[in-house]
Amino acid sequence: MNIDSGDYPYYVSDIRREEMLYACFLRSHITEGRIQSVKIPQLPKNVSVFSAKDFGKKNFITVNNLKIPLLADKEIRYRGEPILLITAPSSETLKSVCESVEIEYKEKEMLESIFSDLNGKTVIYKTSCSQSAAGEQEDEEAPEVISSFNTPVQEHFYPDSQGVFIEYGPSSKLKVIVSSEWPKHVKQTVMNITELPSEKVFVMLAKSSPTFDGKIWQPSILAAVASFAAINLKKSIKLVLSKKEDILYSGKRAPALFFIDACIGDSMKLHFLNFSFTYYCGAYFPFAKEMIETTAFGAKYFYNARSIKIRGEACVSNTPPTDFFSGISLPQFFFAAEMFINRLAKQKEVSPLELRLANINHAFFRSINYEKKDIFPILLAELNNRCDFTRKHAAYEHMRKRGGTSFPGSVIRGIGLSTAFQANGLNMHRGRFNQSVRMSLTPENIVKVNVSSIPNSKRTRQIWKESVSEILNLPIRNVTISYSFSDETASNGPTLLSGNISTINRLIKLCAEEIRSKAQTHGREQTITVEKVSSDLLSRNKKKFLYTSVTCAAAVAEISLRFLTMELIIDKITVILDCGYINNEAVARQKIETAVIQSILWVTRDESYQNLINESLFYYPGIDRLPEIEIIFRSSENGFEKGIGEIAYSLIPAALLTAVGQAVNKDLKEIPIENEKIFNLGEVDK
Amino acid sequence: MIIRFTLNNEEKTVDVPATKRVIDLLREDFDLLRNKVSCYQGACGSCSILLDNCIVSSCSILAFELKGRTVVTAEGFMKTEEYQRINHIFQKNQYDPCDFCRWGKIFAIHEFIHSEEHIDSDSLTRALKGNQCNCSSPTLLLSVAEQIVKAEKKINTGRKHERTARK
Ligand code: FES
Ligand code: FES
Repeated sequence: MNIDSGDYPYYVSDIRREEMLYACFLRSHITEGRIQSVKIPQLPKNVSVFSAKDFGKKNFITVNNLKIPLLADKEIRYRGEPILLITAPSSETLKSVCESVEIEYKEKEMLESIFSDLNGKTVIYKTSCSQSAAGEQEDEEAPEVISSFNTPVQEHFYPDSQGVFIEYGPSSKLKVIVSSEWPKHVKQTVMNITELPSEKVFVMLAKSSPTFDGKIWQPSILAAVASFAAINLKKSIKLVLSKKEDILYSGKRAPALFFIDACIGDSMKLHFLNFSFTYYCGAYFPFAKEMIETTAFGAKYFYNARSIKIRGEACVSNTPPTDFFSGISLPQFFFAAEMFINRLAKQKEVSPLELRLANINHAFFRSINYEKKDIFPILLAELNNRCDFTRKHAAYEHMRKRGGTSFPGSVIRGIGLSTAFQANGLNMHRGRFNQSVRMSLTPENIVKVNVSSIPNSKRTRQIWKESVSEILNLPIRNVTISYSFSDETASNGPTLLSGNISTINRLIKLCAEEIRSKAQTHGREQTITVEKVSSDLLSRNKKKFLYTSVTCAAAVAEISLRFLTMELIIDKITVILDCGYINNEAVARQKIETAVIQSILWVTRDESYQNLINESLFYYPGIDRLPEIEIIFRSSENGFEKGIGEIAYSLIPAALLTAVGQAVNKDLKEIPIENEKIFNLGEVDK
Repeated sequence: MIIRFTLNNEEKTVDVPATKRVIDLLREDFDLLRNKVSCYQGACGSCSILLDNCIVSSCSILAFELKGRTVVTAEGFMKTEEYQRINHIFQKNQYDPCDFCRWGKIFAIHEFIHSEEHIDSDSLTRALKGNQCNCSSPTLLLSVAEQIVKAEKKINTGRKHERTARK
């Protein structure tokens, strides 16, 4: 089990059995078009080839009501789409068979970039809403500021490639060993495709590296095709993507394009704020609604304006399918929103810090988190002190206006600020994809707890047990917990949606408290069962909130550019956050620091599809190129815990790019920003 | 090609194809699975082993090059007292990297302990930079590495003094 780090490390790639077969996909070489013919040569002994025809009507998996084909039938929707599944007794044979298969295509004209398809796009979900409030009159003179921003794909960071091992047992029993954040979905998919009953399909989580991003539904595809082959060939099958395949074709964070326009008056208050955004989901994306509504949630509540208009859409494109990543779509949203606010501050020549304080929706944060005080003024004041932000910002602005450094030989500096929230506890579909906890207390004082999550460590499990034992005043050994992958627990969707640990902590306490009060009123003669979902954490007048709590945070990025080479040096990242009660500060720090690093990579690593296709796959900056990272916890008086794992993805990109923009005296609007681009920005005093 | 080499303190003789890489030899022929493969291009450090007590990426070395040399893999190093002490400090600091980067980090620390390098954060950073891990805390890694190196150097100096005194 991946949750037990003491186990022998059985990653899928480590598993071998006598007489097993290796499997791989043969993928499309073209981006869009039709398959004309497939020529398969005489196959060596024990080699099999499966195509869409073999799967017949079962050539798909269903994820959140969307049907995704397992193998391409006639139409090719993206480069790298699997066309055939090949099995062979050794990986060498697999390779030679793959090389001998000939596929002819009729290719459609290729687009230059994913953003060039604006007119021909297929919208799969859209939303629009507007709200306006009575208030001061618009300042007729105030000019409108319009900007667009875009974010690229974000690559996953797990070092082990996605894969599955299907162990074929006596009387067609299948053991499916997989690294997935939605093992229940894997099981359901394998049962559908093989028509095996539940008791014949056993799903085990393989050990996996720390991050799960991009492993929501693609492991189900691998499990479906491999188990189909296993049943047909009556053999165990191992299907592990090569590293290159995994980087090229597994799920990424969806790229986005934002248009924002707004205007502020002399009071620094936003008169109106209009957001229009498009997400490019690749060939398939089953969570378009959750993604668009999460962005709309950010757009609606983060800043206050007399009128806010939101128009968003998700569309499919001819690139590999995308997947959910940490923060869902808030990182894309905050990148655009925070870049915009920084630009507004620059144009109006006001402090970006003051501009935020004047417009952040303080009432919303008090309300959703049940706070009395406004948290952002506290966070921003302390961040300002720690980083000396106001002074440095003014000094670098002065330099910027003079066209770069006036002291030849010295470095050019920049500083950027951003604010954001992390949304915790999705409250969209009651009971489906929601955090949930079911708890029962038997007359023998045994407590059984089912949680919609895979705990991220032994320590987390221990914390859950301790909470229950303390509230119900029972020994810890009386408490048993089953997790989202076990048969006793309902399928609550992928852990990214249903497994927010801090929300589970709160639900566990809520359940235990309710059981305690029921036991006090009705006695303990009968089993008492209580079930809670994330919306139970919101009071009646707040039920409309899409999430049940938010973690508030701000960050400053400080950078310098080397004289002449313009090499980007990230000097320091400072993050301050209010995440409520912290169970384990050391672990919390590690999580935030890791997310800061991954965000830096998102900003600085050029991973456009073009580059991936050109195979510049393995550029990783080493530990020697990482900046100093300072993390400051400022918890408010309210004690409940809030999430921390995702906040850095929303904070860092805008802070970093703003700092670079200040240094090079340019209005930058897209990431990634690599050294070559900075060098070419020109107009800088090199 | 038939070669002889020492693997985790045992003499081995194997017939290796000319193009087989060391990591494949270890994982496929000797079932030593703790060292992993990720990039297969010498870039990530997942396949790190000790070759004649120096850290190397075993995906970038051909198996026949092992002829007459000494290899220590994760499995071999786990039997040493030094590993027990390193692991103890990892655990004390709640530092638990995955198995893809774990051995690259441990072997880099081991190599540093036995080098003449002066301990400071720059030299430690240099020693660890071949390890591509984007999913655990570098600050904690540096702090853990520093604690280990200091403790081990102390032990080694103690041993040296003991030996000199005995002479
Ligand atoms: S697998 Fe050898 S260095 Fe990456
Ligand atoms: S690669 Fe192992 S913890 Fe990051």
